[in-house]
Amino acid sequence: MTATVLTQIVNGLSLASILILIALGLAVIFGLLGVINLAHADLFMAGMYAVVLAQGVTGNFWFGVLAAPLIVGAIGFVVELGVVRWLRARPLDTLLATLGVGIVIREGVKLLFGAGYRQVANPLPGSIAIGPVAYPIYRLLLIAVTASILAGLAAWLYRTAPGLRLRAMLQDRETAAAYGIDPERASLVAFVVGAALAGLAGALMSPLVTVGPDVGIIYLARAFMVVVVGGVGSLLGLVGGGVIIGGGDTLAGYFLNPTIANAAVLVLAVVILRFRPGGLFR
Amino acid sequence: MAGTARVATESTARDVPALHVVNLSKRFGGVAAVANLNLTVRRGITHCIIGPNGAGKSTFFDLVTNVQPATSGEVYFFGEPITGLPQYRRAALGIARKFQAPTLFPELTVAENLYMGKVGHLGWTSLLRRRDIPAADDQVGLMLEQLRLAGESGSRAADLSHGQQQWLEIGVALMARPRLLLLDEPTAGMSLRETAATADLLGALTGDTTTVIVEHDLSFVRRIADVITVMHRGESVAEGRPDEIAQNALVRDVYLGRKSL
Repeated sequence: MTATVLTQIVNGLSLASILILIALGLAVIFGLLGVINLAHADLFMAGMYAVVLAQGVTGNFWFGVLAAPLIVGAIGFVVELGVVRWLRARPLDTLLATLGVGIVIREGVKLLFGAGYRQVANPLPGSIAIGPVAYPIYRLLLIAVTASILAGLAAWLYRTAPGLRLRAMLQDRETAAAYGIDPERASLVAFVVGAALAGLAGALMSPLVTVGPDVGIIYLARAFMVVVVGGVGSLLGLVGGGVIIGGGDTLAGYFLNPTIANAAVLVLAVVILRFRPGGLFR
Repeated sequence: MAGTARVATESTARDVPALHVVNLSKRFGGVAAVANLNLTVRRGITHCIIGPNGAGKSTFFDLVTNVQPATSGEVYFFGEPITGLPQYRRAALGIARKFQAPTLFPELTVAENLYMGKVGHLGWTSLLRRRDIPAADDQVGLMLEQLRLAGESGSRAADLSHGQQQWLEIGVALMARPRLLLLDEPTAGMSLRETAATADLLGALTGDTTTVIVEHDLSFVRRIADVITVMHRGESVAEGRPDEIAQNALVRDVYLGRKSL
């Protein structure tokens, strides 16, 4: 029983890692541009297909993990310059436009790869036994990679001048312009970085799921919950939100059943919002 | 001959005003907040703009920084026309402004706010090359001393007193070593003691930075101004040294309602 719980905790933390990477992009884009990016799930999905492509061409999974943020970041670059920039002052229009961009990405993937499902081979199958418990190696790696990215990001945000600027802009975009910061440039950087993170998350997740054009949607809803629970303003909040949503979903799904788990996590998010509208960690 | 020409050029360059606006107007519907304003600010001085509420003083600052676009007219900054430039580009040229309402980043620390003033206008690429970190910056440390905020360097800006926040904002504006500093009512909401302290602080801090101050408090203005412009209904109605303005009958009638300056 203990062994099962420990294994499920690793599973929960690996889901949490993925959700945190997706939520980071959502939060930065929302915080800086005021745009709720409904195409984010499809950028995540595009990251998975970047791995399908790279693995197909080179036979190497890790090449796909490197290529995904670059490819998806480039998509983000085009979307920001071509669509989002022109609509940002109109929230409802950006919502519709990003929804449309998502559909375009999904249909584009169907055109290029077909509508069928793909499987990405796990590059590190097998488990490590620590005491009586066997942990899947790939999931442990996933958690470690996310933790390193978060640690690097935290150091950048809190120890460097560009990081300080980003925090300042997240607090008040208008004031930041008075300090000489080009808001258009900052928006572009935020959107590209947010998209690249979604692509990376998709690439890392690809061996753990069946890859299909519609795979992103379910993660988008959960990632929004992470942002809602964690708040837009803080990195630590997003980590906490990710652990609560990802961990809660996995554990409840294992011990109860997946449908009840989804509902339970949703209820939890609503309850948290009722008592802490700014997020749990404000 | 060549020498003479060179001297002439240098003296011309010195005479170019820090700020020069020509026929500047801002209309909101039928109302002119600023109407055909002509104003010249010589470099290196403290130039105060006074006038009753609604005289167009703050709107004038909005036009100089392009927070609002001018309806018509030209703005020259050290001889360069900047009329169409967006706000962030003007900040990068060296125009710093302290707004009437606090515009600090409330969740950042006092030191981080000052550091933002220093690096905010730098481009992303030059920032990536910087190795210094906000907490260990010499210029930040010096400014904290001058603002008498050294003990508060790690506090959130939101936790400072009202007067301290106003001073911090002036400090933030000066961190970029601006060529033109615009202060919008720096003593608003301050006690008499804080106002006096602000006058001392400004004298010490601004040095030979060209400073334009919009202010209601006349005793404060008389203490710090080299030149005073009186605005009324969007126009400049009088300009001169503080003693000249104090004796100007028109100013007393129009603006002060016969109250002695």
